[in-house]
Amino acid sequence: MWGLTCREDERDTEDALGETFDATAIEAPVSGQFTFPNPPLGLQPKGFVNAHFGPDSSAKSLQFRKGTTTLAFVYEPLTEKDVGGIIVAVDSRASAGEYISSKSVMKILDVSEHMVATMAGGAADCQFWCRTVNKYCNLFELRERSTITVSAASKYFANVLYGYKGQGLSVVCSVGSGSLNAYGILDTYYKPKMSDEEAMSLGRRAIMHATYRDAGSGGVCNLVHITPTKKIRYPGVDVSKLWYEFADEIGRDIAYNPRDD
Amino acid sequence: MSIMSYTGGTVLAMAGDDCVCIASDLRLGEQMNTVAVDQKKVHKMSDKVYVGLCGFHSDAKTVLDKIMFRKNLYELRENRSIKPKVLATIISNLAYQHRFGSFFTEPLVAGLDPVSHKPYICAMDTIGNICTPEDFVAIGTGAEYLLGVSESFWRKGMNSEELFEATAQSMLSALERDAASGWGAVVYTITKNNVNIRTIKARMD
Amino acid sequence: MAAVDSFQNGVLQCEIEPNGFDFSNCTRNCALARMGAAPPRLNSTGTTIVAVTYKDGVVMGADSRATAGNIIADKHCEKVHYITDSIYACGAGTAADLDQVTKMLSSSLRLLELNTGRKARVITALRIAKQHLFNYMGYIGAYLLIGGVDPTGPYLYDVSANGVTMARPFAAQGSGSYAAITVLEKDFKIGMTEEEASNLVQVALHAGMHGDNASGNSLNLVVITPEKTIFRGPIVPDFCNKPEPIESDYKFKTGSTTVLKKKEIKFDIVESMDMH
Repeated sequence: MWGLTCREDERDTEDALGETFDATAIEAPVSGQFTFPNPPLGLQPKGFVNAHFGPDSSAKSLQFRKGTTTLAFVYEPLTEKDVGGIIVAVDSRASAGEYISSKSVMKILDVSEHMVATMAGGAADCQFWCRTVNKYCNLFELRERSTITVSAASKYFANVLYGYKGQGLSVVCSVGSGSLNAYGILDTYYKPKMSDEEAMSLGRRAIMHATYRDAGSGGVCNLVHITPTKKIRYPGVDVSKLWYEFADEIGRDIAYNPRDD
Repeated sequence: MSIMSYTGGTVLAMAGDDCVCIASDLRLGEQMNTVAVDQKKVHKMSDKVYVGLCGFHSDAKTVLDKIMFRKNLYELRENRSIKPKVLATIISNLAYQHRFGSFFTEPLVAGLDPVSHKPYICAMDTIGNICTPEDFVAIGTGAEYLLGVSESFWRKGMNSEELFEATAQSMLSALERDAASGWGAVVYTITKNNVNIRTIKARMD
Repeated sequence: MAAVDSFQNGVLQCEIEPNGFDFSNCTRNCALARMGAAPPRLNSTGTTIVAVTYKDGVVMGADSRATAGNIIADKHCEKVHYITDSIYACGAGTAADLDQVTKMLSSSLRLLELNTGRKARVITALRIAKQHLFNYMGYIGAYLLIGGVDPTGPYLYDVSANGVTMARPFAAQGSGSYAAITVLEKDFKIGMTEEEASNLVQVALHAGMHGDNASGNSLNLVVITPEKTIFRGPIVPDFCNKPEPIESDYKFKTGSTTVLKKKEIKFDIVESMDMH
């Protein structure tokens, strides 16, 4: 197993200031701590997962829950009243194949006080590994008495996942199956400077358009606004309702016209 | 992956008191991607006989043409409008002709007998095994959800308005849980005097 | 028919006069199967079928459940198929195959009866069935019990999909046959009365329907005597009824569904004397 453990002889070195330097502080990501029980008979984990829980599995309800649209963008405040920051928006559908196994999944997971992660791919994998990262972040902050940077947390996450390479894990951070559609909206309407109101409705609209085209996404749009000072969670908005409102707004008749045939 | 759920789609038919309802979703997809939202799977065969074709959309279109051809030839030969039961037999024979290389489509027939106005509903598997229950039939990707919910919503002797509500609500419930169908639905209510075609409001995700 | 004649050598020939099976989709379907696409699920009559001969006739019976995987596709499917007035066939296997094979049997025997002016014999039905099934090397998944009475006596035959046939005093077929055959083995006697025989068939069917998940819902019986044929069914055994009746039913008020658009096709009611 691949790990980031330091060599024994590098531990407990004294630094120039005379304080005892705790080497464990920099060696932290030990990905081998959690080990999966391997499938029997020397089967490859990835092949095993695919055969029993993948798209070819005969048991529909055992197929892993996938299909998602998640997005996030940074923006600068437009006026004095706005705060700016990051908008994170996600849908809430969990599907197993064509079966919608849940309509109300919270796909924005807390990583630390000022950080969130969105989940796509295998829901169980995402939740478990986000918890691991969350733990690491908490420990880091307690140990270092300063907040962890987003890039540090990401690096840790990436290292941990790399340690389980080839074991059939399915974790995707941000994006998802409907992301192409969401990018279309973001690329068209995104501006570096926006009011908070504008930014949130852009996030919701991008999610709504993605859920419209992607069968794997749907439900409600959950949204988090991360400001320089705090993290605000907004209640879910029904994407179907958003679509009908959008159609009204642009005056398009979206109802199917019955024909005589 | 199954070809039967490649393009998605669901059709439900319910029988009432001298009336039948047939509902179809409007989605056409390519696996998880939605391509069109105006594709009904219900087609008119004669005044009071409709056929629903689910499964692989391309095969459904081919089979629809073949059904049309045979139905038109029948009406020309016999000089009378087709009965739903006769149409079902024609489709069943067509499907069974392809027993060892079947079309990936499940047909459904719903309608009123042109003379006695007796309701008739039936569904088939891909090789033409006809099921003719007295209450309701469902085909397509959402059929399993429909069979469950319709078992509760269907009652004996519903009039055309009650039947419409039961059919529409069953369909909407199934669409909540089937990702491969939805994006609007259309319900045909066939009675002795008229056919009501209604587009109902459904979730658009 | 002039228009049809011009088609005779054309591509539409097979559409107008279908002649046997059409294999035109096979190459495509095999290619799809190689790509890993799952084949569509066919209805099968996961079944209990039972038949018993008695003193001067035959009693045959079947449950009425058709399944597609774990789904009950049809709760009241007719598995006791009419062949002639005094020959019936019970079927297990692929539902579409059974429908078509028994339809073919009954039409060819009816033609035979009209051509010869005599009642068809059970052995003839058996021979037509086995020759058809043997031709297709078991690919037509029809497992039949053919029974009936003809001027030479009561007969019961067991036909399997690959064309093997057996004459039997009593027989059971289908997924529920293991349970049903034990009842027959225990209680069958040579020379039973009609009542004894039909009771035995019912008890055997009950055993099959109770023990096998793919059988159930209700049962159909046919009693064939030299004089008459009596069809009884559907009979719903106690254990097949819903545990308790539903107290409240779902009634939707008119207007509970939002209708976005509406179109009406009205018919002029013409009182027609033409009875078709």
